[in-house]
Amino acid sequence: MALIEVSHLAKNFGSFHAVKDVSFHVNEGDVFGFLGPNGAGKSTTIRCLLSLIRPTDGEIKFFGKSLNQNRSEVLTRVGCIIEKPDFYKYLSAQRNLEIFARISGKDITKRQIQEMIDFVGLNGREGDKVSGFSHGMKQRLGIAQTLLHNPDVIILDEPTTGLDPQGIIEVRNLILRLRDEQKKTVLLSSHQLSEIEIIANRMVIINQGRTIVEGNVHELLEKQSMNLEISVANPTVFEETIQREFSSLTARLVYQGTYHIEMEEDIRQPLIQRLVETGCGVKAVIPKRSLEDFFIKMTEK
Amino acid sequence: MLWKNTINELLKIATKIRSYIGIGALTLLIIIVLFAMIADGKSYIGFVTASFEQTLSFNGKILNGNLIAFIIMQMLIVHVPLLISLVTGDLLSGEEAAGTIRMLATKPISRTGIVLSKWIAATIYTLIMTVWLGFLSLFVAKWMFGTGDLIVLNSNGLLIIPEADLAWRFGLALLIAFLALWTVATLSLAFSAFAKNSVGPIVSTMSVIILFTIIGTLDVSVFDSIKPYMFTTHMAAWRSVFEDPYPTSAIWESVLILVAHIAVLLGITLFRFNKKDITS
Amino acid sequence: MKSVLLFVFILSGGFGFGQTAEEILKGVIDKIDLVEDYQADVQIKAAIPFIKVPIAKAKIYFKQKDKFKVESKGIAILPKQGMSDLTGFLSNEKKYSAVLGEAKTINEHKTRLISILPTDENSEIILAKVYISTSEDLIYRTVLTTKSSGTVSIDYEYNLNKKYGLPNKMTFTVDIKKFKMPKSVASDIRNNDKQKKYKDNEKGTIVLTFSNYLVNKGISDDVFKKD
Repeated sequence: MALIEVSHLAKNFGSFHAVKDVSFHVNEGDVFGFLGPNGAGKSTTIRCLLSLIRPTDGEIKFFGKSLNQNRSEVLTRVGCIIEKPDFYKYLSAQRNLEIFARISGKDITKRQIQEMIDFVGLNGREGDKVSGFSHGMKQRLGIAQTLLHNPDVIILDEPTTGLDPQGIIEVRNLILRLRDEQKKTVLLSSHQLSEIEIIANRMVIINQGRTIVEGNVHELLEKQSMNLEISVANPTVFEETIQREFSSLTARLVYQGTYHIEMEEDIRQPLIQRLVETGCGVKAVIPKRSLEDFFIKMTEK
Repeated sequence: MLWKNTINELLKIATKIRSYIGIGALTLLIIIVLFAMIADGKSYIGFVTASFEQTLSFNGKILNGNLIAFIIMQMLIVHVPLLISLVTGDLLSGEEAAGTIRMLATKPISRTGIVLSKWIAATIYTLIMTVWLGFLSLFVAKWMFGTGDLIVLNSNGLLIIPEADLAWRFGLALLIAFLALWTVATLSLAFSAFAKNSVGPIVSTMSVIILFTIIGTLDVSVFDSIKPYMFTTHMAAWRSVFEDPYPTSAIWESVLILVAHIAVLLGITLFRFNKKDITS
Repeated sequence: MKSVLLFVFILSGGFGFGQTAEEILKGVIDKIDLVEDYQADVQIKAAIPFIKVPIAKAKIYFKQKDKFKVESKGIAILPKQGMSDLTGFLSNEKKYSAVLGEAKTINEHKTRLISILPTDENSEIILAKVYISTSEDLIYRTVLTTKSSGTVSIDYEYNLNKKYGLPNKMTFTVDIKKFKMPKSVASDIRNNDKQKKYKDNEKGTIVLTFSNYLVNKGISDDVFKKD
């Protein structure tokens, strides 16, 4: 069942069309990647999902219900982090969580708040004012705030921004736990495509305010043509061979002696064989089918 | 949800330093006035009775707690609006500046609920300030200066109100003063809905009060038609309670105009905040 | 005929036609001297332009020669002149000269006018016109002209304490100058154009009604100490 359905969403800010026609759906149990280059309309779309911004057109449904008409009921079951989480700096971490818990739509006890503080690794710091927290600690507090009311859907907009590698891994593991152990549905917007490739099962790519492609991550990557990374000892021979015998292919020099060539799967074997025969001095052949490449290809169109 | 968020708003107000700046400043001002009266209160009385002292002598305790309370209210009703708008002007715009409005608006509380809970909290803060003003000016002044009849200087002469007739007058005066301050609080909250920082609403509120007060005092016929409807014209309506006979219809008129201002300003705030796209 | 005229002349001495101003005053002063001290309750009702004041209640204390005090719980407005200063003034015969004037009936009492001129240039009182009933040795009207307070007229009524010359009612009529208030001080919100228009100089009245006199019961000097 689709927990989130976005149909032909549009948003104009005066004469500027931030979102023109975005549609996608998120199924129960998905970790859904929401991708797009800067200025594609991702933040605007997410803010529309969370009723921070009123859409100009289109429809948003959560749990089969219109967001417009069931806002309170919907948001009781949704947790989110939008960009960096902001808190009341003059209050302690615990007090901040109490404030948000009070208006979460559910009865949340102090014990539950303490458990959540422990879960995100802030135990011992709950009495400290947020003004003294590092970025990583605020992010953790943001996660605590998101999960406090045990939402069914979690929307994360750039949750790893500003985090160190350890922090990024922690967030990744948390999302996986949410999916596998708690059966949460997660909509994740991120520029960390490698992370999306690892943890997301479905995704949508938008560009210039429109949906470009939507689907299962691995199925989409499987469908795309392969990228080979070939390292050779004789770049001149290599280039001549490609030009003479494989003129439909384009070899892109990545760094000295190493090329990327995009091709269909059935050309791979004959190409490698021919390169060896012509004496290019093939040192390494690495097939690549990355989300990054897919993303660039989709958004360059 | 409305009442739960109102508790949240009161907690936020109670834990912000700026909330106590207003209360502290008010306390300090009143203490200064009290000590000034101890030092030179008799000169003030002399000024009040000067026109009559050639032929009449005023006996009894003129400089008493009731007179001091009246003087304090006259002096401070002008300044208390600024102290109140320091807090109420920050309620929406402060959250926008801090980014917490984003967190708040994604909770299952309606935009109307957010505004109403902030407005209720602002009302309670205004009430606390008014009660504190009343407590310091009435009870503390009476403790320091004793009690007695109240001598009031109006533009058409002196009025002496017996002590037994003062309790309800001061009560009603404080109620009307609260209404005036409530209007200011609602005005600054309305400005707060349009701003992204706190300075703008506070400065705008005081600018409006100053501008309207100046218009109100100008003896220019062009403004005569709008003066009765400006809220600043009615901010001193509390003083009418200390006339004899007190003008019931004029007081009611002032109350209705202030209530109308509150309703309209609250309506504007609700409309603006409901329509607002939160992009910060 | 001559004896009749003489008889009439002797009789008319009882109506003061034969008395000098000093003799008439002496009757009043003798009564004043009977009072060592007194205290009384007084109700003060003032009708003064530019002032609205409720009826006030006070207590007054007097002790010879010139100790006087008014004690009121609330604010009481009293005339500046004519309360106690007149009796003290009259007691000191060397400080003034008295001139006998016309006869006048005041409130059904036949009185003679005594005009009193202070000999002291520094005296606050410029002229005192005292209307005295020679048969009762009581003052029924005084018109005081003072340097700083203008003219104040006082009418007296007597009841139980005639023998001491202590009135049960005094009605003061004082001059009131037009009240001018700087707009910056008064903060009435309404410019009331319908307020009563007063002339530049109006008159105000203050009526003192005395009761519960306690005469010559002894009053401590501490009573007259300033608060």
